[in-house]
Amino acid sequence: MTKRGHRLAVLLLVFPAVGYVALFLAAVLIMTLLQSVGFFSFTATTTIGLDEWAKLLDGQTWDSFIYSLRIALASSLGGLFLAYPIALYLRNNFRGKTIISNLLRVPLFLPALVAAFLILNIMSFHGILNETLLALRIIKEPLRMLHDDQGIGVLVIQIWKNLPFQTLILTAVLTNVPRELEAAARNLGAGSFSVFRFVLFPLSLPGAVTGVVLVFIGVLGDFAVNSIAGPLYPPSLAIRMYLLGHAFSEWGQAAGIAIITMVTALVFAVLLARLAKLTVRLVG
Amino acid sequence: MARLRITNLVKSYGDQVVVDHLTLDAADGEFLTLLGPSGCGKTTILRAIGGLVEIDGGEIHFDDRLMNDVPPHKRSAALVFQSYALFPHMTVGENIGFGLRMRGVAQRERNEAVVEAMAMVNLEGLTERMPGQLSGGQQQRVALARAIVTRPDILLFDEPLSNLDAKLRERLRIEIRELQRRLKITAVYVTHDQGEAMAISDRIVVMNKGRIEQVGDPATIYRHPATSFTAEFIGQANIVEARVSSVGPEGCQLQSSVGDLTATARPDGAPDHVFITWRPEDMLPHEPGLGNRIEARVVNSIFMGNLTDLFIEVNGIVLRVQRPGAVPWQVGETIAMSVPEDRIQILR
Repeated sequence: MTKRGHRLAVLLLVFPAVGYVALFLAAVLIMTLLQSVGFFSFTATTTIGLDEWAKLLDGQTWDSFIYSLRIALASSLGGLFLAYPIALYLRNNFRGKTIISNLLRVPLFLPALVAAFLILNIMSFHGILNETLLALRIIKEPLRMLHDDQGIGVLVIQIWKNLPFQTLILTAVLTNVPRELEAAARNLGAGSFSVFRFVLFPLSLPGAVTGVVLVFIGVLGDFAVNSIAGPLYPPSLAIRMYLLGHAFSEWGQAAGIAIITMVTALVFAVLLARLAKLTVRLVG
Repeated sequence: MARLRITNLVKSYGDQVVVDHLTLDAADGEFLTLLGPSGCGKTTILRAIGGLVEIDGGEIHFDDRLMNDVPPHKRSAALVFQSYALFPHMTVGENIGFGLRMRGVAQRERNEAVVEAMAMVNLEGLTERMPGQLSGGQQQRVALARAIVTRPDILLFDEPLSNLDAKLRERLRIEIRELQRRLKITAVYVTHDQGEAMAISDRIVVMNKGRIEQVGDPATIYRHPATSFTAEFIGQANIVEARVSSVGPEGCQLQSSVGDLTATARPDGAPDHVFITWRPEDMLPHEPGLGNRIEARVVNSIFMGNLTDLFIEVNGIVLRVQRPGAVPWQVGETIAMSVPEDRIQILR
């Protein structure tokens, strides 16, 4: 094959995937951006300008933003906090390791909606947990664990759902840290905590960051879990976007919410990657 | 600095006993080498000394302190790894200073000690580099500096030079030896390379299948191997079966498969059959007045430059002979050689 023919073949092979992504991603991104400044309004007459943004940036949007940001931060960082001990433990060889790692993966195979319903059974007003606590006379009346203002129910579901994912990434990264490094650190006087702090933690940070960013993005834009277990007010960003578009036909404002969500995710990812690099330098 | 004393050390992995009731000691400031083929248990012993391997039985003392239950980070036995095991996210300086940092040494003191240690291993000026930017030899120097900077009681080396090329290996082993002498730190060095062991050690512990075959200084181990394993593992050896016909105060008479021989050595006890050994370079061309004459046919002759490696056959047994420079004999020719009586060793 000639050099030119070869290049053509590569292009043809790559085109379906790249073309698909480029077409839909780029088109949707550009449309969203344009919509938020007044173009392509499905219902209203087109008025170009920042009117949509002016209408959007009110207290309600702020509440939704803070709520979604808080839940996304808490789920991704909380998940990481819980994932570390499991991942560290799973580095060792022990009897029953396969069973434990397989059990951990179960939530990965459940769609978010199904997961939410499962947890609903446990945590709802007359769910298993409340009924058990009532039966044991630990509480006198059922606790509100879902639709609570703080979004605790959502948080529990999100962590349950995403923990295996974070554990999986962390385990993979930690398994790649040579055992000799741990032995060297011990040999040079590091106790267990110091081995973690100075060797395992900094060397697994890339994996930790990847896990946190991916969970953060997923939770920030979550619709399913919030629609089942989320607070009545504020709605999550995704729910608010849905309401603006479908219930109020404010497509321009809905597009604005989409942009806020995407920019937040991007800023968070960049900040976290920077922070991770800085941490490795500081710890070293 | 400390004296190392290992008593009755036992370690198994499953059914496999890797260290079998091993007793060993190293004097204060001594350079002791554990030499043996892979799987002989030498690395396990080293890691047991460092506390990185849990032992099944026996005792390990540094001076009079029993170390069995002391965790690795409190042992002061610094290990130089085969893989170097440098922390890839830390600079060279941070790597070397790590042990001091763990001991709570202040930053300024630490920096001074790091600079001093780097000078000792000829690494000046590389403090801010990352390990990934260094050559294998430089990385091993960093590992060495990292181990000595805390002035440990005992220095442990786990085949530290085996990933380096031959020339660098020779240079570094001289440097390691000089450094250890200067600092007077007791060292335990593990290798499967007999040349390295001979060059670097005060004493060599020859190991096989979790047990000690022989302990001695390099010259003794080479000149007076006690077992056929030692004789064959260190250098080359002719090993021949023989019957002891008489034992006297001057030595013994042997009837061997290559002829009757006289040896100044005497067997332990009164065995009937023994194995005897001598080195290829011990055989001389026969001259009047020399005993232990062996007549043999040259089957192969390999000129190596500084010496000639000859293989000669007698009664179906092939002996190896090494003579300096070139030799006048041709393949197929029958020659007369002799083995000096004091060169014949009787094996256990």
